[in-house]
Amino acid sequence: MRFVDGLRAQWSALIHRSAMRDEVEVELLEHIQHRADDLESSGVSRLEAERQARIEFGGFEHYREESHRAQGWNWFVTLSRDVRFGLRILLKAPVFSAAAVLTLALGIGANTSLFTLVRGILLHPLPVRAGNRLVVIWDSNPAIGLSRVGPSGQDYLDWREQKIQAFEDLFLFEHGTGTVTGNGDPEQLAGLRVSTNFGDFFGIRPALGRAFLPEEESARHTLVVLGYRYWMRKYQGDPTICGKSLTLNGENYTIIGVLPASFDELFPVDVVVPFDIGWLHRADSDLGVFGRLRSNVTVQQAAAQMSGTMTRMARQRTDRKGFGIVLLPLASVRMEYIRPALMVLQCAVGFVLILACANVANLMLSHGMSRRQEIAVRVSLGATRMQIVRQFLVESSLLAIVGGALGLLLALGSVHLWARFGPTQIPVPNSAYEVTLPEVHLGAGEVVFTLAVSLATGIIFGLIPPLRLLGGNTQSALKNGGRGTIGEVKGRGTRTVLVVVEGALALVLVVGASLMIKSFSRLLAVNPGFEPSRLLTLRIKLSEDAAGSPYRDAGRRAVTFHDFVDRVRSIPGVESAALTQIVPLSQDDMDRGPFAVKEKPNSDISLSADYRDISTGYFETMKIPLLKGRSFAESDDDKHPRVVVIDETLAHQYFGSEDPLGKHIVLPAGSQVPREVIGVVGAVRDSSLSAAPEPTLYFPLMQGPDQTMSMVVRVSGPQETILPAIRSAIWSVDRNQPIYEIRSMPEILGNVTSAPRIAFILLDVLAVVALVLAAIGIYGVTSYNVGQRTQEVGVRLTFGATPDAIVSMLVRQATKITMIGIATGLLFAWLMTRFMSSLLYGVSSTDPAIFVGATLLVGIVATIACYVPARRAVRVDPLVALRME
Amino acid sequence: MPDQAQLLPGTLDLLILRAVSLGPLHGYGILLRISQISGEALTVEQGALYPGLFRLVRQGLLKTKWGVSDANRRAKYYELTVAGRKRLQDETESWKRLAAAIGSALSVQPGEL
Repeated sequence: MRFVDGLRAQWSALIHRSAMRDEVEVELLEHIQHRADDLESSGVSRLEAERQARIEFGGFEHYREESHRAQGWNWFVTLSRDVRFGLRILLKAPVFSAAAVLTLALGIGANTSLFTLVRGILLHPLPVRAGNRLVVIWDSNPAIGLSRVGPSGQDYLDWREQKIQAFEDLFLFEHGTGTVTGNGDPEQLAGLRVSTNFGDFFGIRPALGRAFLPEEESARHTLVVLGYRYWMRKYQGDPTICGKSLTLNGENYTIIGVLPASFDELFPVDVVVPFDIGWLHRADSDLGVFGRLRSNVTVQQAAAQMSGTMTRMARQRTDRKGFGIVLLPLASVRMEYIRPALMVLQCAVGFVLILACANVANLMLSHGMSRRQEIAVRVSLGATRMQIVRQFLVESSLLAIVGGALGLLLALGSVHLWARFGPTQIPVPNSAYEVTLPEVHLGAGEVVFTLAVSLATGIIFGLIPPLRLLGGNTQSALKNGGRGTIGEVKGRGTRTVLVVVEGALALVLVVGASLMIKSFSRLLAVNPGFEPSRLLTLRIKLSEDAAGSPYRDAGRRAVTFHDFVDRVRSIPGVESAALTQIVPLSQDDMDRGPFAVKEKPNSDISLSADYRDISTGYFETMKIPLLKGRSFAESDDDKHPRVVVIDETLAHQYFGSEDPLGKHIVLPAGSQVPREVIGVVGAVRDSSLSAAPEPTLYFPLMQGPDQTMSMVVRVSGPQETILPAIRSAIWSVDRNQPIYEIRSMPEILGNVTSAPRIAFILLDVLAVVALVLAAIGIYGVTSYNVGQRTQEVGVRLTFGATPDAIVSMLVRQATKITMIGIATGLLFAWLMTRFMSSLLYGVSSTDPAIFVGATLLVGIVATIACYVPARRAVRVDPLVALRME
Repeated sequence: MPDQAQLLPGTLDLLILRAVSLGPLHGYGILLRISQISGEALTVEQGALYPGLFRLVRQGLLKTKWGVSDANRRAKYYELTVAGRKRLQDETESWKRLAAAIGSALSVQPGEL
């Protein structure tokens, strides 16, 4: 009861604080009036009565303060007094305050932006059960150049049967697309075929209905679960959708559920269908397998168990000879491409924040120096050290909080820019797969982060000046009127350290940025082997799966594809068009395998190459140069002898100086028909710009076309008008043919260069910011130091030293410190740039030219920053300078 | 006023509680009541009353209400809370015990032991 009353009293004091202050005053004044009334009634005049009452009351101010204190508001009162005093001090020095706030806003803003990205992208938990225990399992066969290849259905079944201890469960899936007809325009949907433990594996709570049951793999079930977005888009979120049917690849599927919206982050798919067991036994390689580790099993342990099992299994399964296993945590695989860029940037913004702090500390120090007299007076009037330190902390925290608020706005802007211009999809290296990046938001976590960073920086740089100031003899400060002589300037060591740190950090950032500039210009100068401009790509999948589909016949597929290309070629504005199985750099599934050369049967080099089916006109459309022989002609169909075109990498690696034309290639896994090499074309970079081209075999499409092809179209007009024409050209052949993955080649190029581009742009911006901050810092310190020596400069001038000699002396002394900073920076840069080597292409992380160039740049900027204040110092009139003390 | 007793530390709180226990009073009224019930033997500097009052309010022993005094002035009235009443009882008893002990100690005559 008592506690509650007390609490209530304090609470009401808190919310009515200012009212309470007035109330106390009113109450005390009323007391005096009451007393005066009594005194007046005893016969004295009102004036005399009031005077008497006041005297009897005692020290009014004293008791008022005591009363406030008794109400429990002591700390708040002192804090608010410190804040008010701090604000007054800061507003009196608007240039100082603005410089400090802006510098901090820059440093804190950059950090909050990067933290938002890192938290949103790297630290974002997968929206599934035990996401941190999921691993990706790949096959690898380094001997034939396969570093990550999806396992086959049989692999999965074997692993599952072995019940490997390390795993709780294994999950199998395959990305694909399905054609939906009978519901508006034909649509190609992004689909996922999954093992039936799907729902349990990810702990999915369906938005509607259910996921599959494990027993549903035993028979062919035509069940489908819809993706949330597709359900919203196509069915407007119809809650009664379960049990309805959907025509997918010409078959009727029953809708049994809808996935939760969050699942899009892992698999942005429209439909999910189950594998049936029969399918699993037949399924070829290139499937995806995830494992969920037991809670205390490490990835290494799991990998060891896995390879043990594989060795045992290899005795029964000869097809797995030479294959090993790659096991990696899913979360890290997904962000493997972007992580190094973000980490390097996180480091860079950290450096910028340190630079900003150094500058503000420097400002605070100078500002504090000018307040030495004030501090001395306060100390001599009985202020404790604690009170002085607290006052400085309050001021620096005020600056930091305002800076942090501005920084938050800056971060809000940059996150907005990221959403507009940042990549939405990133490739997963060596796996022919792309990950959709989660959306990044500035949330409560980021605000807390900013606040924490602001307060931490406020405390750190706020502590420097009072500790330096209080270290000195306050008496002498009082005597000198705050001017002091050189010997007494405290904080000289601190300033030297600040200058060294600034020079060092600026150099590290400039080196990093220069490396990125050189690397990125090399990357952009890479010839991908084709001409990307004005190239449009789109995908066509014939509905071969559907029962009774005419496309089950290879001949019919060939004719249809031929017709598609023919119609598109006749559109005005289309320069040329062709078909290919794989669009270079698009992260399409690579098809790679062994081959043999008939003329060299005993070669012991194991031969492997990328396979590619293409139509006539492909090399012409892509502008891939024909180096030897001929390219495919219309006559290279299945009624004519089998032919093949090879690229120069393959020609060089496997034929060397021999002429490959007229030799025959045999595919051991295929029909064993010898195929004559009729031409050699230029090499193309298929997987990434930075990786060397792989040996490639091109087959004519008409000699056995696949069901899915990409069309590449070189256009001369604007994309927007030609695209509808292409669509209707294809629909004029088959009205039910969906077209999907419509992308321009520059867009595809943009995705594969996104990480180095982000690092390139941001690191450059940060390096410029760092250089400017360092220049300001060095300038500030030098002009302060020089200002302290005005008298000395005056003496030197009087005794006949030339201004130039004095300038060169001052600059020499100042640059000595910056040179230490630059040397430290070189060492740091040399140690740190190796961490960005995965972002670099065609340039070593310790490129000497860049190190020299960056040193020169930072050195020149630092020298200018020293020269300007020195030059100003000698312009002083010697007489004025001498009279200063 | 040479015969006025100095206030022992802690006794002001007890006197305030006692004064208020007889009915709600404003600050000046409390002062008058204390001087009245102590036979004008005990006085405090008038302003010193207020920190004590605010402390008791914060401790939840008193509650307050603004009102109008007999002199037709604004005044804040103090009243005991339940906890305040209990505290007054406890303090009164322990004070009486102490006073009795001190009193008997001081009234011992030589030879009585």
